[in-house]
Amino acid sequence: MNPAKNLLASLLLFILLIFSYSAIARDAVTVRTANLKESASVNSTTIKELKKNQPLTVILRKGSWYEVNVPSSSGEIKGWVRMIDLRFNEAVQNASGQSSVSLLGSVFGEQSSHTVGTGVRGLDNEDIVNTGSNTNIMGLGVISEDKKLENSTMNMNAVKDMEKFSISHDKARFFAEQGQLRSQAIILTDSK
Amino acid sequence: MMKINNLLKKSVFSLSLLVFMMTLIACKEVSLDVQDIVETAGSISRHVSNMGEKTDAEEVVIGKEVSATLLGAFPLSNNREKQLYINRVGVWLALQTNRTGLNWRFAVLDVQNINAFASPGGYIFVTRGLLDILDNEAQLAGVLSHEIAHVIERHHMNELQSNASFGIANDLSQFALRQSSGGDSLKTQYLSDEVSKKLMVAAKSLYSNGLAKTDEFSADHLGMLISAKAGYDPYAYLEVLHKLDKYSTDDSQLALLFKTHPKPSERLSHLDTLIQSSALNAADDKLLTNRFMKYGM
Repeated sequence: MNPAKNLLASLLLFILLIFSYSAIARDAVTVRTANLKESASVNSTTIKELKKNQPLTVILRKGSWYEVNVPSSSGEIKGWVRMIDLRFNEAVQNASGQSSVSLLGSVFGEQSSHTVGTGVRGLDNEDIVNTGSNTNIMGLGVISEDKKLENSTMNMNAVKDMEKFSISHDKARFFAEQGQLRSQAIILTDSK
Repeated sequence: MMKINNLLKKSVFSLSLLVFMMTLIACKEVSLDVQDIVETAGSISRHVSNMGEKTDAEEVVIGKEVSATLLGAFPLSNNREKQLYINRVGVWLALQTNRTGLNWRFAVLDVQNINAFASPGGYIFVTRGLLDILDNEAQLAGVLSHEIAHVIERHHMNELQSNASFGIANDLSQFALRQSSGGDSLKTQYLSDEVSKKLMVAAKSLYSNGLAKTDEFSADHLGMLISAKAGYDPYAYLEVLHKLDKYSTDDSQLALLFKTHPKPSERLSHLDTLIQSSALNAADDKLLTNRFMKYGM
């Protein structure tokens, strides 16, 4: 193999590695003080007590725990944090000032600002295209979910169509077996 | 004198014994009366609750009409494979509950917005937009279980029957009375046109404004348990809430969901008690990612 091809192959592999890492790793922050644990268990050794708003990177999930990398002065510390103690949105917004999702929201927000006077909220692309027989608002044909509900007339035929997809208990059990799903010894209790 | 004394003593003893026995009998009668009162009260309260609580068959009739209102606003997806798939997952989850006799039906709505709805009687709806953000069957099971929990706990039924502003509570209880009085069974399978119209107006308001926050927290809790009992990884549901939490509160795709539900972050915090308890200790960790992908989800 000539050196140029070798170099190209290595470069591609490097790019692939970086891409796959970034696809899994996600930035998050703690929403309260949280213990960084050695393994995914409350009984495991606490490596460090993390303060609220501690930025970290989530690597993978196991049960109700995330494996994370926490930046520190001496490099990154790896450990486990409870899922409940983290949120992802703050991290995205903290990093770039505005998340890509909220950026998208603000684009639609501009659109919805045109329709404030009509009391219409919650717009999406599909609604713009798919107006059907609903009222055309501001000439755009934009209908929110609220408005769609308000304009709804009962569609019993659609209920009958829905009934056509019904599955028997036996078929559902067979489907569960195919996925190796088994009923577990869990007691259904309410939250009170 | 001794004889008289003995006689007197015997009489006093007999009298005391008689009084004692009479007291015992009286006590027994009193206790029986109390028991009767308790039983009667119980029977009254059961009767009252029966008046309020619909039978499964009645709930299905009401649920069909509510579902027709939802389907009048949001069309069904025409993807048959997806519809059948969601029914297989949904019925398996419903089989874990104590309401297996309901008419459990599941449907994908051809709507890009992110949302899911439950209707009385076991009718559950999930939007295409919500399915698009999910990664595996366990996450779908978490979403469906949340909706199933609303039905198990009769959240929508209770709201329709107790919220005075809907003005339909009396009509719904009369509908039950007609059923129980053994009237024409064919006629009672349907609500009258007048009641049907009122129910449609009530349903629109209910789905536009949402349930009480406590009902949503309760459905999150019971939903995780249902999903775990069915053999799925219940914590996949926390991933769904994490996903929803990433969206901006003014994102159009979630306008109705955010309007009608507590903030995802608040919902996550409410599940802390359940997660720290031992209730989910027996849970399995099935995600079924490949099967989910196979059905083009």
